Amino acid sequence: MGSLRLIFPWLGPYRRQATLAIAATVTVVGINVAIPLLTARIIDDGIAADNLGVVTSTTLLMVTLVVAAIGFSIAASILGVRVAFGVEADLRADLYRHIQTLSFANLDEIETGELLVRLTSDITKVRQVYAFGLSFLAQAPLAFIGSMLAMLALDVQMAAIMVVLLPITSLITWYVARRSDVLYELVQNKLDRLNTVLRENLAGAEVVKAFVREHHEARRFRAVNQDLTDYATRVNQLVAALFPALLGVMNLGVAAVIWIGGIAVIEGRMTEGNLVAFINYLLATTFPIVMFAFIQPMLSAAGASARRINRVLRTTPAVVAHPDPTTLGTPRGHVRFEDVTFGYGGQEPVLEGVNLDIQAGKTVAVLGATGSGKSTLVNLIPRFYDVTGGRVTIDGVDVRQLSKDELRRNIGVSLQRAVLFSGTIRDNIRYGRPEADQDEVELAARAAQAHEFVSELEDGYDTMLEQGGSNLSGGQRQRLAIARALLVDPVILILDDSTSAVDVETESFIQDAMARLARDRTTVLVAQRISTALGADEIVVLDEGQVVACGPHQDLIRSSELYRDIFRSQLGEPTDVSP
Amino acid sequence: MTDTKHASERALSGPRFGQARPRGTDPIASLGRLLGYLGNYRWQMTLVLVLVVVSTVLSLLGPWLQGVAIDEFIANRDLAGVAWISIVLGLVYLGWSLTFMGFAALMARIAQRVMFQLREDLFGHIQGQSLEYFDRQPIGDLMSRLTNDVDAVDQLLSQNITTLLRNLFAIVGLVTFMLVLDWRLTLAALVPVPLIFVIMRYVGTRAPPLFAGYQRRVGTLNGLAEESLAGQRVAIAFDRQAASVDEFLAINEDVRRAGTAAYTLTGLLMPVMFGVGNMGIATVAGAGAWLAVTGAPGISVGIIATFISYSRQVARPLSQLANTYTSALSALAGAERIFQVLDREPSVIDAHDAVELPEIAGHVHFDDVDFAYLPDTPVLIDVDFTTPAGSMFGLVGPTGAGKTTIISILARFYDIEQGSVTIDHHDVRTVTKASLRSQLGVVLQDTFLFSESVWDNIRYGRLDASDEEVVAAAKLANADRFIRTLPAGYGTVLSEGATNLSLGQRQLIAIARAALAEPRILILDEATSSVDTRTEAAIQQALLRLMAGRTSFVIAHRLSTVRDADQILVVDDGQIAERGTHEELLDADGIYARLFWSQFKGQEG
Repeated sequence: MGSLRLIFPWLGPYRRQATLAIAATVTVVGINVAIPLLTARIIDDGIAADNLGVVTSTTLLMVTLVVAAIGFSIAASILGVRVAFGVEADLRADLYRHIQTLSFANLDEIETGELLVRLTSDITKVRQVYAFGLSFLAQAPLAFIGSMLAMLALDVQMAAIMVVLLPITSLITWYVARRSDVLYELVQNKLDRLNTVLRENLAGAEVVKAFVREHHEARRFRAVNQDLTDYATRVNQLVAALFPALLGVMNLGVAAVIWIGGIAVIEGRMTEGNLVAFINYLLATTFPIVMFAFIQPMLSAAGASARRINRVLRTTPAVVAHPDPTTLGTPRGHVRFEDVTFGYGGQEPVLEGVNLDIQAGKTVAVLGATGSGKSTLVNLIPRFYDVTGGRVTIDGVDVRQLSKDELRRNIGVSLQRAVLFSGTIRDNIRYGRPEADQDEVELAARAAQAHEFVSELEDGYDTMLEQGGSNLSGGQRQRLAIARALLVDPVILILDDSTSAVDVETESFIQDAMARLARDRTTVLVAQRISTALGADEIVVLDEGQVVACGPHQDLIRSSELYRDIFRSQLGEPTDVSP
Repeated sequence: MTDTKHASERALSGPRFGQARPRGTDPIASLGRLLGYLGNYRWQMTLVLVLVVVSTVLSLLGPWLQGVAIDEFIANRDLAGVAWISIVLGLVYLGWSLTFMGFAALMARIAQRVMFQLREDLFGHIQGQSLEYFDRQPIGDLMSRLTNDVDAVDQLLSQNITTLLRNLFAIVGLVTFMLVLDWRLTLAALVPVPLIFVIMRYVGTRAPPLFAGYQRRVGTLNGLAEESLAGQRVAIAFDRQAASVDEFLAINEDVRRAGTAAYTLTGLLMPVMFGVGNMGIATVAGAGAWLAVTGAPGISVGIIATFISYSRQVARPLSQLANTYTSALSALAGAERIFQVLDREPSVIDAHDAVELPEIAGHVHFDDVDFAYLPDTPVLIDVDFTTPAGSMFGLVGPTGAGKTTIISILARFYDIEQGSVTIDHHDVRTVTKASLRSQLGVVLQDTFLFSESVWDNIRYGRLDASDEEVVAAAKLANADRFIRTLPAGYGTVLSEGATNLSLGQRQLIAIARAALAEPRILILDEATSSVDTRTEAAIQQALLRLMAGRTSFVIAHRLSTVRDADQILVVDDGQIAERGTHEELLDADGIYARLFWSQFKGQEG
């Protein structure tokens, strides 16, 4: 029931429709409770009294009521469906909107695969509770209470039989529900594990084959498969046994009623019609109990989903917009790092005491070993992450005082992983500025050395990309990502190792073109290749999160041992690399 | 989940995702093959069948005995008789419960055993597929077959089969029992039944297109969500989050409408089914009472009570049969998709007389090799080269030139059409794939790591390696230092897709993995593209020590990576354009020289 408390508040604007659905359901329950009473009347006042009039009128009344019940329950069902899908759509919209406010640090903590599950299957589970649960939750207790009252009205003594039956059925249901809850969770874990093994096996097919690990993989899979089979068998057997067990107990109650009731009829304390009605009520109480067993796993699954959804909804965006942002006016692109310290998720700092002054219009290359903090450094400029200490400024204004809009308009970024979207190449290039025309798109593509290969495609700029751009090579994807960043025509351009899959010659063409395009643009490059860095006005060498050297190539080659080493390593000459 | 390098290298050269074998649907054939799986449990299935029949008969005996109790014993004031028949009734119900539980438990066990076997077969079969298969089949599609379709079959085996059997017997038994007892009341009980068929027909014809439309929209929504989440960082970078919300909301609204329409329609079924049951009670009670009052023979309160119980039971099996029918059909469609996977033959298979490749020295010879992934779009033309055992071999050239294809053919991930590839004079097609590949160590640019500990990931190269050997391999790959800074060191479990590591760090672990395998031939395909050059140089020196006297192939964009190679091949457009040592190629002043000098262009400017 705790799950319900989580889910109910999402009812929101559908409260009225839900109330109507419940009201219709209550009416249906009332009619259902009346039916056995009416059959009793036919038997006792009709047959026993030889009264054809009572038979006819009661039958007509029953038929009318049944038809009305069908109408009401259809109405309840329609309303329930509307509420359920309404709640689902609203919740999904809220969740999606919230996800759009999250920033890089949040995404580091919640994987996108997880978010996808929240948006799809978790929300569906909540909807199912509304669709089935709404009418059931109203119906079951009422049907149960109605039947109990009717039985008490018919014969108090015999109704006492429920005192024996109810605890037994409740106990069975409780046991199965509890046990299957645990087992279902185990089955789900095993299933997740199985799917992970599967997915990795498919995604890493090349690795599996290259290392000839097919047998190893098959063993790994069999172990999980066996585990899954064992638990799935147990839970399925348990759940399958619930229905015959419950109905069996209630049927034994019917046998007892025939016995006790039979004696009562013989002794004249009860009519035959009432005996038949009593049996019907007894069986009617079974329905809510069985239904509860059926809906219980759904409820607890939805509860778990609701908790997970709430966790996402309650995630506070790691980067919060300034309530009263400053504007840059005419931005020049002067970037400063002032004693900047940064660590991911409160862990050890990745950057420590970084001071940098990147003059407007200059090109700066960031070099350093794997893990030295290069990407982290550039990610602080567009405020993908907030600094832990110190500050990053653009034209003297702390980036935390600038609006999101201002930052994105002035900073173009090409990330390390060139993620493209399904859609045309043109739409991908103008992702950052959807209103750009073909000439602008082409200009950006030419500068990024992408125009040539794009025009060679059959559909040119209208070529449809598959998800993630998987029908392009890595180098092609990177060039489109660069074109996308260039099209924004930003004051500050950040290229995070954006040409790693592009050959050196093409790369030098890209650099020439960019230099031509905007001489007054500030460009920050993260590079592995020294060739990427050579054209820069200034080169920043990072080592273990600290700036160890900074200056133009000619200076560094003289003053920095580390830089000399990096430079030599590129030429394939012996270097001092004792780790 | 990045695509493989192979797929991307020949990207856009033609349609990639052709269906393996387009075929018409044939649910009956799929059913036959599924039943084949059940065939192993012949005796247990027979037992299930017997138990279903017994439990059905017992469930129908109950209401009849109730009627007998009222008419024969209660009406005749026979106290001993009432006691006796109540006990019989109790035993009948007990028997019903036990037989029901029996077949349910048995069937659950059989179903799960079959599922186990089916999953094993599927996995085993996919393991045996050649790489070409994975290029062609989007992982999402395969995963859906392996999860959703397998789920649907599970549903079919675990629930649909017993439901089908139980309800079929129930209907036949019910009508038989009723007819034997009284034909007039049988008619009265069956009067509302046509209504079931009317509503079933109505819903049955209108629902499928509505549900198809709903499913399609849900698919669109999920696709959009998946893509937008995958590109979330780009959306943040370009401030396009608000725009994506609008698009999402539009589809979300579509889904809401379509879902409401589809489920409103199927929502008609339950009320009508339940109503028909109640209606049967009314018609039986009315007709029975009318017959009794007008003095028709053989009508008593007891038999009316029996028939009231029976009419409650008429609607349920009919509706369950209808439901089962539709879900069974979709499950069979799932089964069919599974069997399609199982029917697909691997394209690269061991020759029937394949021999084990003995330990090789590493002398590789490509003799006039032609290769195409797709007919009419050659990727390699007349590739011809020899590497003496123990030499280092560099492959350079623009993206898409065919460098990766050359090493894929060497590892026999694909079979060539023309020419031959030999290692130590053994044609790769005459030796077993396992004995060939286990002597090669391949490191690819798109590094794939498993969501296991760092220990397990490196040990993947040699499963029986000791901890010390793993650490030694990590040190060799310059990975030891950063691994020790991870939260749990070597015990750190990498997240799926290993997002907690940088690209360069992933590559270092992959190199450690390959080094641990101590291959006879080492292949580095852009293996250090995201590693800085100093670290790369250190790794290369270490690898060279490890590979002393062994053959290695190195593919790289960075020319410094291949500078020390004994021989460098420049591949352009599927052909070998130039070959020679670094110095020779510079002197030749061709493509290689141009590439080399372009690295230093920025220095003056």
